[in-house]
Amino acid sequence: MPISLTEGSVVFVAVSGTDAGGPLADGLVRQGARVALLTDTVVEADAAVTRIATTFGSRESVAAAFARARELLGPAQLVVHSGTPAISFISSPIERLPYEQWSASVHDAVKCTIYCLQAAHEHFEGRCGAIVVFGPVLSLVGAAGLVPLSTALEAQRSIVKSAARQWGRKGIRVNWVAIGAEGKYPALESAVIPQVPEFGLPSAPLGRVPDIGGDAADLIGFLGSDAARAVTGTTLNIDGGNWMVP
Amino acid sequence: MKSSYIQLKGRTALVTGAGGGIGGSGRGIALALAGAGANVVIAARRKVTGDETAALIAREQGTALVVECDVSVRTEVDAAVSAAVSTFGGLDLVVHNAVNREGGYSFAIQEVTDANWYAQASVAWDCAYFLAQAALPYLKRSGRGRFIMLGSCAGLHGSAMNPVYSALKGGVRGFVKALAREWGPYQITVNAVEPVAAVDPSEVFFNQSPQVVAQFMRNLPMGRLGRPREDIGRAVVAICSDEFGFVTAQSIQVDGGLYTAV
Repeated sequence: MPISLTEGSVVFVAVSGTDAGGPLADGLVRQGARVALLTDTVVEADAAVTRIATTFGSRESVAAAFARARELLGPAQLVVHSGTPAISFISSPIERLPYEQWSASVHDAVKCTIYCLQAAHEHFEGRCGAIVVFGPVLSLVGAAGLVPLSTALEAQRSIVKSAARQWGRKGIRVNWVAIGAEGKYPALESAVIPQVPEFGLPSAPLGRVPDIGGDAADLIGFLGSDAARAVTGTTLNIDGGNWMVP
Repeated sequence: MKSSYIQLKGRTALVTGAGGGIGGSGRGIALALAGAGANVVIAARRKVTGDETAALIAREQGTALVVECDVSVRTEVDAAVSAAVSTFGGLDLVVHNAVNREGGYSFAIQEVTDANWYAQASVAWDCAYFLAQAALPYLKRSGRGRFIMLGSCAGLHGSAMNPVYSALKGGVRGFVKALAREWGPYQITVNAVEPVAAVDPSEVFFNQSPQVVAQFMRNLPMGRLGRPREDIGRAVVAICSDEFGFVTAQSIQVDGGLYTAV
């Protein structure tokens, strides 16, 4: 039983707001997948990655991007998604946070994830499939100055569980991957990121922070494989052992 | 006055959604806080329901002020906070309980519309943001400020047919974790209570699926739903007390032991 994607598997990577889609798509290509990258961000990616410029602001635009990906690559076995608007990474104490930033960071983020889940469900209709939603580990630990980001991420994590419960009998698995934030979300550099109780860096027991194109892509490939056929609704924390939650 | 052993005398609490019906958690929380001696500001969308809660508090010789307030509107939230401060001289305790009744209705994720989202999110989330901005100066001044949000077991486990409600209540967990880190230096605690209670959204949900009720009850170690005042309200009172002054960033389940896998 392979514990990663099989050669030629089709994966749609739908990432809004960050450049994480590029390295992730590359990592999945290295596993032998054929990858469509649906993104609203300028990213570097392997030439083998099929890019589809996507607007995540409406259900219709996301559905259209999924339809285009299917047209180009055929049906996907795995959909990978992250929806974190760039503005949500700008740190601000809540008392000085403008409503526009609050609204974009929470409402737009969760709506984006709902649209992607809806598009994936429509795409999978009648077939088994896997969905992995990922975001910074701040979903689990919170961060001062980033209240809206933490709020939106936890909401996305809850809706992943709802989807897993709702669609499990249709053969659709849905999981969440929390990625150690310190190293690989450059937008967070100015934020007050909580550290482990022992304080200070380097703090991860494994001695390094995870790499999206390698560590995270491998884990996501596993979640998309048959080896993970009984795994759904879960949260996998990939941070080198920093937080050891839940 | 029914007294709680935890005294909040001299402190002022603002409770959103405190005009809820007989089964409303907001009314139960308001009664419990008043029972512990707090001055209670009842923020209610409809004044008539707020007046009912105030009358119950008055009957027990408690102190309450009713403010008609659509919590999805910033100016009305600001006005409620101002009313608390001008009437009672400060604000120490904020309890955001209000929800939109749509949260009790079942629908699949694929059916969710933007309208569904905003109907619930403007009450559950925007109000929390408005309250935090308006109340912070007074909670700082209090020296023992409390900011409490009502979460839900649905946010923890992800309800199959309440995806928006689950997302919003899950988001509450993120909100309190982050805000607690931000406000810790001010000695303000930020927590959530996640009840399993006989409150309006539960009733609406259960009424649609009677067969779910029996199964749900079988899974409850204590064999019953929480009572708004005695169980949920008193948990909120406890968090407001000095005994809980070092407890922050937590989502505390008040669920009769339903969720043991946290």
